[in-house]
Amino acid sequence: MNRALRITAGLAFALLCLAPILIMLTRVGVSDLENLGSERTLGLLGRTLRLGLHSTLIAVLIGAPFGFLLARTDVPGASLMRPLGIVPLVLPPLFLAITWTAVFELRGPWATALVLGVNTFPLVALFTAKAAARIDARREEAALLVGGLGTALRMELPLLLPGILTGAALAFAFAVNDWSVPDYISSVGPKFNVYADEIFANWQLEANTGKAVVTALPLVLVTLAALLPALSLRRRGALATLDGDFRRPAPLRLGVWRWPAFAFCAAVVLFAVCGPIARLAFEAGGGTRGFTTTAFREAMATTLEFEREFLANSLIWSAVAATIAVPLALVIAHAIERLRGGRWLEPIVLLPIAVPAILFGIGTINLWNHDATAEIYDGNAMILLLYLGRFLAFPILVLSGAVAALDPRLEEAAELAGAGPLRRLRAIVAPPLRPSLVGGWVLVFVFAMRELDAAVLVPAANHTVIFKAYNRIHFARDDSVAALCLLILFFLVLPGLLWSLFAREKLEVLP
Amino acid sequence: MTNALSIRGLEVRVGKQPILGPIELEIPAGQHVLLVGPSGCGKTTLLRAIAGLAAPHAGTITIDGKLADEGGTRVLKPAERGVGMLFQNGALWPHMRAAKQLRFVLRSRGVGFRARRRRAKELLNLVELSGYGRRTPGTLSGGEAQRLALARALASDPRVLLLDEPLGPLDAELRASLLASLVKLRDELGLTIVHVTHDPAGSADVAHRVLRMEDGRIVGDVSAGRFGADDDAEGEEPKLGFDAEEQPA
Repeated sequence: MNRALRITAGLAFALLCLAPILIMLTRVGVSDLENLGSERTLGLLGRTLRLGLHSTLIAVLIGAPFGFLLARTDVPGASLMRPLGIVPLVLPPLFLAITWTAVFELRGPWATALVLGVNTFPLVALFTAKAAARIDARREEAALLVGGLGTALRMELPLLLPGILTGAALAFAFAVNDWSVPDYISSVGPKFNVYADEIFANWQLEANTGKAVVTALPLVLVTLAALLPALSLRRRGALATLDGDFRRPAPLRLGVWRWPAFAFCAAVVLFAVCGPIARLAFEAGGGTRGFTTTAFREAMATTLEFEREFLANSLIWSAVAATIAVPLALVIAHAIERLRGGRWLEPIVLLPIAVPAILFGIGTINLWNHDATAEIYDGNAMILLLYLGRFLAFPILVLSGAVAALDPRLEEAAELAGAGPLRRLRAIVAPPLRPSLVGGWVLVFVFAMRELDAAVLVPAANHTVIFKAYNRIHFARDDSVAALCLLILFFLVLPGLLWSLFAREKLEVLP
Repeated sequence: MTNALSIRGLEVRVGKQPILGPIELEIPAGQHVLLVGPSGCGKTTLLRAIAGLAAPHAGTITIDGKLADEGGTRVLKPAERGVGMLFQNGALWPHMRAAKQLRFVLRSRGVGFRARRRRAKELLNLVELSGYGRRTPGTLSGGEAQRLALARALASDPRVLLLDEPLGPLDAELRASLLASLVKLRDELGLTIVHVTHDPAGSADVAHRVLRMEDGRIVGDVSAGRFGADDDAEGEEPKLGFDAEEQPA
């Protein structure tokens, strides 16, 4: 590919994603390092890791069987429950926290772990389903012949394990870096801090950026330690059992277990998707004061009228960020896969995912809050820079996986034909990757729309609808909060819904 | 007769590990050369080096009198070498219809809109795929896909055609049919062909010359007629002519 194009994309990644992180490291003084071993820091780290492990365990316990059952068995209603099962990942975790605490009066760290586990189980389910769909029919038939369903499942578990672990690693990374859920659940129940609070406190209350960075370092290392093996598993092809003459397996017949399996999957969808949405609708229509459709319509109309500007702001900047991110990501992903030694770049791509959002927000402020860049910092362009910096890594990972699966001879044939680097990228590489390109776009759009953890720090990003919702949760009436959450949810689900309605290909959102 | 392809001291390495060469090879214009040998012996790497898709570490490659590689430096880009390549399993672009695959190559060569459409039709006729223009690769049979890949390789008007296991995935009947088409095109268009196969049955009958490769080197070079005779004779070593040290310069 054109060297100038690669260098431009690389510089853009460095500026958007790495500079906010690197600038933070320059603020660390020797005295800040003393903070690393403090009892308070270690205590908070331990609590956050426990929270992460517990929520990951919940995500695995729900996600692994849910993903496998819907991908590979004859459980009734699978085609409907499969897309519904992704919705919790699209939902801002804060929305889940609001609805669940309202219904079940959940409080404390365990409630936080439960909410984060339910929020991230689709990651485990998606990776499990992908691994399950790649088991060759003949391998499965051989196991079925030998010992029936039980033997087949025992044969398949080791093949599913890399997928489950990869999903679990990502779920863990999401959970330990989340700030909004512990913050909200603390605000309605007994107060407890997590690591992200400490980073924020060190920066804002003590005005000590170096201390905030040092505080974050162990968490970054732990997150990287979870993500790097997952990446390595993918690299070694452990997630795939596809070979040359792959035969798609038929759905496994569950027999008497078919209806219990349905009950499990339906319960997951009910509690993780339908329940929270129904509760939001109920609250928007008057809630315990008495639900009426008139009140519901009024709440929705009023919210739309009052928050139109914020909603438009979020929609436009999320869509612009996604639209810029995807071509940039394609160039970088292609370089990672096709350049000699390019794969060493992938751990660097993970950095923006591993760094706590709060720290990334602080880094962005440090990078752009200067006289020379005041216009950018105060304007809407700052939202774009923040979104791109936080989420560019996701389409890169999705697309590098997709490029890796694309036969390099397709590009070589075009090169022999005389097609230039840009034309090869546009006409040969991009079209077969369309599901991944759209998947990458949807990921950036959704994550940007629900971005709160870093946006809460950056003034320009305070004019977004999710920030407005966060404020309303604390200060406004329940019906208007619920109506706003429903509106946001509608736009979060919309791109994926449109794709599944009008496109024949399945959206690819996994790395 | 001038040489369509001239290779001297060609070496290809992966890291520090030599995987091909040194190779010395002269192929006169219009000759059909069969390259045989076990899997992993370097046949495809040699084709890729000729096409400019694998970077040589040392040696020179001259195609149709033009220096293409010299001392590990690429002088001509792949598209400037006047070679067409039929990749193993076709490597057809999965998202493009048959005619579009050909028009894409023609457009890359600067052929105008009307001429592209006309030439694409001609090429489809040439490989006996007229009426298949709107079909995508996924809807073609193995033989049809290989014919389309052949048409695509010919779309750039190559002087040298590189064939990487073109008959591999086909059954006996289709192999014979495609081979007959290849010979017809070779003779009509005056093509020089370097044809890689691990199974020379059938192909050796239509080639002019057979080269045997082992461990990245050419270890035998005989006329196609002798190849069959030697192959039948049991116990004669080496099967093809001479050792690498005895190769003609």
